[in-house]
Amino acid sequence: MNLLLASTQYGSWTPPLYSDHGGSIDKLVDVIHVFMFVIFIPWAIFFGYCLLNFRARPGHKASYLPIKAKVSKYAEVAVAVFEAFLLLGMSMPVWAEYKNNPPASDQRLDIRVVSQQFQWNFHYAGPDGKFGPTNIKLVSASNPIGLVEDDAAAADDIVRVNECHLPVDKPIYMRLTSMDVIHSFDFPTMRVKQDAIPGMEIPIWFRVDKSATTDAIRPQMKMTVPMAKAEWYKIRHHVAAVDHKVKDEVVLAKGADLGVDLKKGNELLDQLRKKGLAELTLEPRNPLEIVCAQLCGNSHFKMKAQVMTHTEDEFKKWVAESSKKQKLETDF
Amino acid sequence: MCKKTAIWILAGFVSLTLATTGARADNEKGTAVVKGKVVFEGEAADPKPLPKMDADAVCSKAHAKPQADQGTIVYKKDGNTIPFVFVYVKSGLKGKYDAPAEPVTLDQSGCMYHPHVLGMVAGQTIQIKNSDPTNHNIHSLAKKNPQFNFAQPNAGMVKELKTGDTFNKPEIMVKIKCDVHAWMSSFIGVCTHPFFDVTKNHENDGGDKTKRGTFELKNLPAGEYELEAWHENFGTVTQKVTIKDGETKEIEFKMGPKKSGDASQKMKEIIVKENGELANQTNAGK
Repeated sequence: MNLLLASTQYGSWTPPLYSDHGGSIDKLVDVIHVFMFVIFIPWAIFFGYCLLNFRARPGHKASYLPIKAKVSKYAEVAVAVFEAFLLLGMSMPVWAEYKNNPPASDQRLDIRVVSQQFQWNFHYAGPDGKFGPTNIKLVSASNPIGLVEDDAAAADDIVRVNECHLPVDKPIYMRLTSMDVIHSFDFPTMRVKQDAIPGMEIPIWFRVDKSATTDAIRPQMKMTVPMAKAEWYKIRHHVAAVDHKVKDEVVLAKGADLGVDLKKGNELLDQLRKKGLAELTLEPRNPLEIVCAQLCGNSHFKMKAQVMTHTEDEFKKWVAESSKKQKLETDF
Repeated sequence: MCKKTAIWILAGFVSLTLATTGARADNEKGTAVVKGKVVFEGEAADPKPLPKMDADAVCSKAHAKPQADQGTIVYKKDGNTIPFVFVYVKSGLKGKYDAPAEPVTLDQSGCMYHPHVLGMVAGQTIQIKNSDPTNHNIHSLAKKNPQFNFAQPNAGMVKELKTGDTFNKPEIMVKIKCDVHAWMSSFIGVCTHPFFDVTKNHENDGGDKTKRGTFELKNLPAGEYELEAWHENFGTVTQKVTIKDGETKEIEFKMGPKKSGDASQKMKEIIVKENGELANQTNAGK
């Protein structure tokens, strides 16, 4: 079977993988496809045989009658019993074992994910490890999840819109819920997918690979684009991966983006062409994202959260920095 | 031939005069003015910042500093006045008013709506434009008028909603939200007449801080009116005004945090506690 899988190279059709459990999911997908293939071939041969053998032809009427034999009846019952055994005896215990054993609460990072039409809100407990309570009536432009800000536990909470920060190599325990309709939390590079349902809090957990910090992934996704083919629209979410030089002069520094608007972006590309730059070496600004896999309607696709993965230390720094209250500088 | 033309022209003039005099009863305008300010009673909380816009580079680059949630602004240094209050004549007007020919504009720039609160006459054209090079989705949560929900994925896009499309019935207020950036909100007051104003804010005070939180209803016919002031977080306040031709009256609306005991507050509240269990609390009488 491994030989067959290797020859299909099915794995290259899936997104890059950065979680420790994702390999077994990919393997399961592969195994299911092999089994489906194994069933499909004899079934297709039998189907073709029946089509030819029982067709109408000169001197022969088409036959539509099914087989009437005891063997097939027993075979059908046997298949049903076997499938029941697979489901009740094999699959459900494994699922129960998995779902009833979440990572220990003192070792994991809890994040509440509150989905809404149409964005992902991420709620972190902050340094005190306690989530402030929420109340749907307090939801406003400045308080997307309706955090009860007077509550002591809420004082250092962090709420981010479409922006998720994760430490690597630590169990992440996400509690999914929704403020309005059913959303489908999909984190393809971690092989995590779970519906978020209003009125329920559904936990999911995973661990990001130790080597999969955003800063480490970015260079892995490096690509080169010839200047002649560079279109701002296609590369607007990328940044320069290296210092671009023409005759020792840096024309586009490492990390610089290509402008956030069409006009300025095109002007920049024109300038670079005039200066004689041959090609761009780019990497994505943010390689990881969470999307919504709910397919109904025309708006779930807009729910995209940027994910930043950090080392444990960097993450602690981010928490310390972000838990401070945002200050407004105004003249009123 | 000449005589006939003259008669026709004369007839035309007569009918035009008749038509305009007939319409005057409807589109009646006067010379009275009601102006004043909306003031927060008591100690107002500090304005709150909008959530970080970092997920969308276009939004985060548009603002060097965090932006204030417009619904939480009270000018504490300038007399506790409140901006973004919609002040309009609730009742007392006689006759009907036609929608002006020129459209009102709702602009999306820097991932915020401009203006945050606006008024229009039912049936007036509204122009919605996107000045941001990012995708915005304009979703009207109207209750009496037909809702709409469409995207403007790029800068420079303009959509005109004309008479018949939406906003043909009076409605106080219609909330507009962006389905991509949920901190974006705008409120539209749809009136049957042009006597409304939005209290001035720090962006349109023309450099004069004393103008913040003030409004002015011009060209009112003499009469007795009920005025209402509406604010997204502080609720509504009404006041009666009697005014004569040529008179200018100054009034003040006082608002506070939403009064407890209204119907929505009496509802059973569900608060999600830290450990995820649901705790039921009754807020009645608080």
